[in-house]
Amino acid sequence: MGGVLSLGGPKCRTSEYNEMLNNGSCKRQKTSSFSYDEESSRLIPFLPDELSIQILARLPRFCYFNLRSVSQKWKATFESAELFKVRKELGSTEEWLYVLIKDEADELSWHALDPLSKHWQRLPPMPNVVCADESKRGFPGLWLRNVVGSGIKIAEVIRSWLGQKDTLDQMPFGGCSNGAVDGCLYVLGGFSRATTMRSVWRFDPISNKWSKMNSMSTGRAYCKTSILNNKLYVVGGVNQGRGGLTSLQSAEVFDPCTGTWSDVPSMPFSKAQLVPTAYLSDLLKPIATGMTSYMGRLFVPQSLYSWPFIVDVGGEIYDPETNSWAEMPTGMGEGWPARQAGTKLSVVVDGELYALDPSASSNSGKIKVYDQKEDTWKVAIGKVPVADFTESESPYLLTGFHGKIHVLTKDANHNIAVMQADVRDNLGSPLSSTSVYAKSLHEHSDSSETVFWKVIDSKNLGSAELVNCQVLDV
Amino acid sequence: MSSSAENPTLTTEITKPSTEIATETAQSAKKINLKTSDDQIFEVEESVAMEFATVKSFFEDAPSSTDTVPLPNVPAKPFSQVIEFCKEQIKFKANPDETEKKKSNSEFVKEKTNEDLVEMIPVANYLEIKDLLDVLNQAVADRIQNRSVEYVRSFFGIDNDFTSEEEALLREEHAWAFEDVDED
Repeated sequence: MGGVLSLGGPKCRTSEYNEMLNNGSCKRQKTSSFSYDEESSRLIPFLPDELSIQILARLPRFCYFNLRSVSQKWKATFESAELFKVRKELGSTEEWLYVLIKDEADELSWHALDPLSKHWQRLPPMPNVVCADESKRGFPGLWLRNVVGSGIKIAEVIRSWLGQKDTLDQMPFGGCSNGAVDGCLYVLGGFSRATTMRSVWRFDPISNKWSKMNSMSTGRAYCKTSILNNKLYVVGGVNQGRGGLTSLQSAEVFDPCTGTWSDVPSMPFSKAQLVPTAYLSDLLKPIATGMTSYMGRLFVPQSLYSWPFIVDVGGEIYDPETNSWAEMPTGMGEGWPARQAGTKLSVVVDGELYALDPSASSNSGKIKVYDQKEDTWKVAIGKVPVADFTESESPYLLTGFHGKIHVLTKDANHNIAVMQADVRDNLGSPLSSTSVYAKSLHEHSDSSETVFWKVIDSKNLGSAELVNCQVLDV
Repeated sequence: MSSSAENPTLTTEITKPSTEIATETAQSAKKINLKTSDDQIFEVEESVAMEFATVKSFFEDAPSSTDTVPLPNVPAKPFSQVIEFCKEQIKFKANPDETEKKKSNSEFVKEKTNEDLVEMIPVANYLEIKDLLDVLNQAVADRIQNRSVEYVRSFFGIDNDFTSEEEALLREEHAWAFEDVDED
């Protein structure tokens, strides 16, 4: 009995490097007896690629961009889906925060924060082009460089809505919406050359490149986005038509697996039907002021607006199971905090729906949580240390990151600060030097809970304004 | 840490019946002879040898085998270190303690040179010792993370196959994207 161990079978992924081991060489230097081509085409000369990938998948993602320069094969691997599949299997994916800012020159740019290494990566600029078929039909395939817009009246409308002052119509991608689905970042619509774009751009962190996706059926600026069942939903926004700017009630959904858009029933906006006179209903435009994916449905708070007034009228809920809209519970709709802000202020963390409520009177704000049983919004965090709620156009963003509430704001030194809310009891860890102490005003608890705001990182991006933020786990 | 298995010895057959297989004190446990690619013979306790899935399935196919098992893909040097690891591992089988196990694993890799680590990877893969393979892959990743391109190239003996223009462009891109990051 006995004999040589069988080398066959699926267990032995080894045959290709048996030879190498028989040469007794795990050493760095090349072995002359080994096929040079085979070795040199590998990631690591003395290991089969499937083992090397196991090593590379365990590296922090922040190293990838630098280590592309090791060799052609390394570069190709860091830009391959295969490596990122292994990261998923190993559970070594990392959540990064992608922040969209607007600089002094009104240019939009994305910056990614790796919270582990505290490094910020600048993303390649969004392609500053406009597809010809959107602005000028008859020149298919022609890409026009986006120049300063023609100054069509883009409306007091949006300006008043979002407090934007000027240059909206000149800024490429101004009023674009964003989403993160299936490991990629999306930029949807917005203005360009005073038209509303249908275009959709996707940033893939693996290739570190932007690519154009199938366009939406309608040009939209300031539409609301949310992710449900790994699909990207857009609703509402405004469209620049021949008759000027109109607000949209339509909705559509993008499936990243097929790359296609499908229609979703329009928001019925039933409250708008209740406006007493035809004159008023003509004047008051229904707008979706937000959208959050919560308990398997999409929650859209709504307002009626007529410059310069805005009236909150509750909201509606889209259920993908029935493919239909229903009225939002009264307490939820009426109490929805800060719905007009136009920035990302509602978030679901750990199954709970939170919204940031900036109080205009003081340099502070509250984070409220929706209580489904009682249909009310309750204060979850009584104090949010935000330097100034009034001065800047969008001085704060709310997001769920690493399973915790995070607020992005500009601190007293005009740095962009990313703050994490850490809820602990009083016996918890001591204050660190970077923590801002804030006592929670839990109305429904014994107020023994304390919230620590921990600045996880801050970055000086000049006088840039915060526009949006998204989280990708790659 | 015991290193008795590191001296390969030619031994006579041990025929004592093994009643306890996976105890750390099983001095009298059955031994198995394993022959490396460079013709050294290791006498290994059965409980340790059964950590090698490849060897284990060999005995499942031939339960009564008493012969020396050849390991044609395994050189002696990394193999002795693999045995060292597995001896530690089986202690945690009887008495699972994740914290201690992690500590033991990190001590194991700490003492190893870069070359030791990368030589063990194909051995651990061939013998199908998943825990060890995970530990080794992570250890190598830890040693090259935050290192410069040059360091990583020399660590693995990789030839730079970029033209100087291509490389300059990549570095420029990197400097632009991570403007505040220094290389080591």
